[in-house]
Amino acid sequence: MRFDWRQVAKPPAHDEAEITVIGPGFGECIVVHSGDGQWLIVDSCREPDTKSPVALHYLNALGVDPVHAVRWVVATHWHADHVGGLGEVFAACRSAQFFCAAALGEKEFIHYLTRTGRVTKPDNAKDFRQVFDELVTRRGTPFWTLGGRVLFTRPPTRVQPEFRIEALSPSDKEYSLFLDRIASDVRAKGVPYRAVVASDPNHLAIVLSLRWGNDALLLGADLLREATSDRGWLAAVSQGQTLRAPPADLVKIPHHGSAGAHSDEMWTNLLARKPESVLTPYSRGKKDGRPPKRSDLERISSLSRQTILTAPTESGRARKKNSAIALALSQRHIVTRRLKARIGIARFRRNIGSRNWNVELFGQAKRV
Amino acid sequence: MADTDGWQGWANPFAGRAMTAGHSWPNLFATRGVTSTPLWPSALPGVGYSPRGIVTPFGVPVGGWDFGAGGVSAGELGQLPQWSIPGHQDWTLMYQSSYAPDFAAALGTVATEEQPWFNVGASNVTRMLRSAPRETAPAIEVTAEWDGYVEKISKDHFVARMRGLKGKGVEGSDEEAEIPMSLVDAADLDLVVPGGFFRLIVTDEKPKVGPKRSYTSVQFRRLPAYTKRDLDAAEREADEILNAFRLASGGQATGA
Repeated sequence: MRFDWRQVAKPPAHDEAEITVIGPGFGECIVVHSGDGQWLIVDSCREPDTKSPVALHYLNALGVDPVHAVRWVVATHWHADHVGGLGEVFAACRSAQFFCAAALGEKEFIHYLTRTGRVTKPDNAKDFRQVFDELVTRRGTPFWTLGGRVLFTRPPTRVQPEFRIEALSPSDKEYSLFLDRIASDVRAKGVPYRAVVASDPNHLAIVLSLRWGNDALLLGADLLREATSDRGWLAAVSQGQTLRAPPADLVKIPHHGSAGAHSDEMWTNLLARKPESVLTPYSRGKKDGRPPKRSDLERISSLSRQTILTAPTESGRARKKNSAIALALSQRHIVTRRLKARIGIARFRRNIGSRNWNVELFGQAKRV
Repeated sequence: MADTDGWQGWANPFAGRAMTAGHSWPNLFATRGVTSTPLWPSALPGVGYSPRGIVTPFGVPVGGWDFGAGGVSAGELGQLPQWSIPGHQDWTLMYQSSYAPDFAAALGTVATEEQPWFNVGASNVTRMLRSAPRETAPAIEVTAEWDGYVEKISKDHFVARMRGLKGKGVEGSDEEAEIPMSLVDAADLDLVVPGGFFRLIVTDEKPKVGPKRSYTSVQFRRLPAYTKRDLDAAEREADEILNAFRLASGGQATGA
């Protein structure tokens, strides 16, 4: 059944902060109202039925014009589940500034994009290329992001505290690791065309801290835990401490809740005790490999006031095929899974300066 | 033999009539330079009799057109302007006589270990196909087809993204699949890399006598390689983007 976007149609008040996490099972998009009618979009994924970006569907349902209202678009990293439709989003948000990891502005990556331009799938390379082309048309440039940078500050007013967007990652070390990995995907003379498969770990993920005065929330992107202090969550926590990020009472759990992204240091140093947690599942791959597992949900729930999952953790069964086709595949031990999913939305709102979040769930989203 | 002759030789006898199976064209190869591409995977008997794709090497762009693994049907063939392929590419149609004894007999050639391959001239191919014993042919139908690319590779299988092209419950679907490596033809194993394109095809064969049989095949596509011209053009585009970003940022370097 198609998601009816009219059910989310009520826009936030002028002085209301909003964080809406949309996760259809594969893909993730976060839409934030910072107050004063200014919006931030973090990552992008597509609506399963229309294939249009969910962020544009959502803003359209609220009656918000993305041309003027969206001030910032952030690509936390370039994996397909985070950039589906990003090119369309940025083209629609004509006043927005674009933020991405600084390493993506290096010659190596831009050459990689143009070399792979003849191979149009999957979306990640194509979408980044679209964003860059749009920026060239606008005579703009991305805001190259590294951990420890303040991306935006809105001064306080008589009625609202200061609003800041800060990046806690990626680290310098991850910057160079990413370039090494791009260099290893050789597209040289004599190498056959092939699709772009972003197989790099989430080295470049941008973790964001959004703060209104002393109230903050943490968007964990897909950052993973690494063993050394110059990478992953240890480096991000260090940057958070340097920036004096206040403890966040709402967190978008990193990397779909996987155990590899769990960091005790993140929970201890960047979050308030028992925060609200929201996560998007990654319903692809083998059942025993896709996050979050039951043990992940138990771990996150034990640390949270409440935990919200935007979509079921199971991937859909493949559509019912003709029985002869299904038999032919099974005889050859071919397993297929449907990738189509349904929209789930978790929306958090509160008046700027107040303590409690008002939580609304739509579609497939549910409390754990 | 220039490609123009060979491919036009294929096109004309098929135009507007059903292809017949039961004849020996499962092991024809198209070559371009030193790269040979199987028209049919020899390890999968029956698939080679499909009425689709017989005239098109899998995934190889011909004259700038990529017909894909499914190729074109016989009916479509007579209407395709692409078949007036410009002769500037050095295409050769070949067959392996050990797999194609009918061709060998018709052409009066004998395979040896030293010379198992023969060039097939256009007129010879035409003659052979016209002599196909249509009455013995089982009906062939491609019942399902997906276009996919490899995402991950493990020891005994690979994980792929697939888009359904044909078949009930298949067409238009977006699926993930785990496919055993054992289904990949040994000659194609070098193509099983992340990003490698393939087609998954289920074919039904309905003989005049006996039960219907289904065949499933994974056919990797041997795509063209990057050329110096491709890379030079990509470099120019990248430099344009980088320069535009530098100008927009007041001449400062991009990146960090």
